[in-house]
Amino acid sequence: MKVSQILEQRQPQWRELENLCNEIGTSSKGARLPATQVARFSTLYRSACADLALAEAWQFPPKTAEYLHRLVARAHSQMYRAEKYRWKTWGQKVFIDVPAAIFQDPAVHIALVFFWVLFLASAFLAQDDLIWKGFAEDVLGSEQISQVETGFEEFSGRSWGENNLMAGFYIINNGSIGLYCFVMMLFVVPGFITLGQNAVVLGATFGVMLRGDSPEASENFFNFVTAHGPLELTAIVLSAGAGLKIGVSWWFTNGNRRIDNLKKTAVETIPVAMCAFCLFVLAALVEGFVSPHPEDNLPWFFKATVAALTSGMLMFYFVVLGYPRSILSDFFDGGER
Amino acid sequence: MSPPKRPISQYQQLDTTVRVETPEKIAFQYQVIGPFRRLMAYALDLLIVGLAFLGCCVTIIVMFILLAWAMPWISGDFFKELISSSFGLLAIIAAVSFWFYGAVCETLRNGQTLGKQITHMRVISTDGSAIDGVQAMVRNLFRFLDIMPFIPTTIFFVFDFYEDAWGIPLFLAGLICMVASPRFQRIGDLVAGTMVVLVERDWAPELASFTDPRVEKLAEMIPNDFVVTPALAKALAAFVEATPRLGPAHSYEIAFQLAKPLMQKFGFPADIDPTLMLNALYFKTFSQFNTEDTAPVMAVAPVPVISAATSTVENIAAAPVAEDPFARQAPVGDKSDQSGAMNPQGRP
Repeated sequence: MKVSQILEQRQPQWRELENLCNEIGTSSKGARLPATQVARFSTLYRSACADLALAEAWQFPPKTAEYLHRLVARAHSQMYRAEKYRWKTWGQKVFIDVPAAIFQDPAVHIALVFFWVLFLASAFLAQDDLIWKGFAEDVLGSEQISQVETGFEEFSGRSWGENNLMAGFYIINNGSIGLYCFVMMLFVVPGFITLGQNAVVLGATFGVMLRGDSPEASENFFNFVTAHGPLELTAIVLSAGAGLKIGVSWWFTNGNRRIDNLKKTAVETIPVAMCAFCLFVLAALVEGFVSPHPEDNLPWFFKATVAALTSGMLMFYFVVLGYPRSILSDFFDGGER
Repeated sequence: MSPPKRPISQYQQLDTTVRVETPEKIAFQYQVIGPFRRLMAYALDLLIVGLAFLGCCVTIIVMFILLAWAMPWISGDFFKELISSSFGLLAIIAAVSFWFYGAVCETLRNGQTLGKQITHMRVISTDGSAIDGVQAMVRNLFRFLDIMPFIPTTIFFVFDFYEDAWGIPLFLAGLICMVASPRFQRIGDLVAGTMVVLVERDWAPELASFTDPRVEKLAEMIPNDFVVTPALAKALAAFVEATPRLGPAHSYEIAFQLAKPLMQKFGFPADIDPTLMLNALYFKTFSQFNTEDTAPVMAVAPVPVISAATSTVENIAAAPVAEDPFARQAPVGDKSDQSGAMNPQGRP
């Protein structure tokens, strides 16, 4: 058979395969094609593979071989399509795998300790104002302190439209803070500087408000931050922990190639990053719709209850659900024996 | 000759072409895409997201106008609150679409965002398989590293609108990584184990045709017992396909080197145009030459054409399938391709 005849004979099938690729590729029909078309697609695909082998073995014109390479590649990528999110397995992932992974993650532990130690120390130094005289002023600057105090003195709640607007703003703002911490932590040292800066600034602000130079501002401040504080601070720690995990994987490879270890760790980190993102969104919603209500509309007790509930939920999720099952089963098995 | 230091990878690469061999022993090539074409796809994606966002804004404005028209008794204060709320909603839409557009599109659309589809690209795993949702998430999450570093907005006094903004991205990290990577992978691609390849479509190959009647006549004069080796066939095809892009002098110069020994071998006069000689040999090789004379590879079973009367699953399942001609026709004792790969590149 002549090459020209082969091309003439095969081109209708190649075109048919192209059309099927177009049909599958341009819509979500891929999963719902009739059985006849699926069978036909497989037949044409196998045939095109054989044609490609033939083209390379007998050196068809380069353009023909190139065409067949691309046709087979296209058909292959349609036959083995991207694996979508498996919603059915998410229950296992969300309630068992993710909390367990976060609970045992040393990077999260380090970020947690680093953040909270600096936060509490900064708050103590700013509130005490004796051990380090003028600590809050050194960290925040007198001008910013007076701005914060004035802002909270004048704060008397928002309208519902402004609440909606600010909820949107908080989602963007929180997401940006989380992403910034995450990205900086990939370089480890800049990440610790960023996380430390956040911890010290937030701690100093809390310390100034605890000091109570302006009682009205302090009251409004704690009335504002109580409800969403646990969610937002935990989210910052988690995003920093996720970044740190990847940043450290570059140095400590556990015997793997650096790039392989990086790939493996990145996949493991996705749940932590997604968890941080969810907490940021939750924090933004609470900050947008619960926190800004003045004492008259929503008493502090209610906001404290929200804070206690969210803290309890976080503890339950990360500690109870995340506690290693092997340790639990060993404990109970030991008890039985 | 010393053996290669590293075993030949399953995924070989020659310049911008990556060869992939799947577990089913099918080998084919992908062309990986460089940074500037990918930048175009990214710009298109940003444009699409921007237009969608603009569409949301217009929809909300139209809804307000309709609301004001249908319910004129609504107070101005209520409208003010609604407008504030819609700004919040728009902020959420903008953030979510910017953060998740890439990951969701690439997962649900088999490795293609809309921008990639327009520019004929697809994201696949480096082993040639389709990407999964986690890979799409990873490569898009790391985009925030690829777009670094940022120029602080404070150095542009006009743009100093928001002091906490990250700044203007320079994309340098991603660009340097892509230039250094043989598969043009940015950091996100390296971490997720993905690459971006060309998806060309609707391009059917044709053999070259000749209007000069001398080509056919000269082809008939070439001895029938002359065996065109695969290397010569490839050289002929490459030359003829490249001829339209070459000037006459350049064509002559290239053709002369190949045609001269052939003309001597065939006993043709030396004054025959070497370009004509190669065209004639191409014509004979690909349009006249019966491949069964030299290579036992051409008896490929045609794919059955489906008619309305036969289009049932049973009929198709029972229909003969074009098999690998090498596996079927390789002579007994030929152990040159025990791997069973359907695309034995470099086969003599």
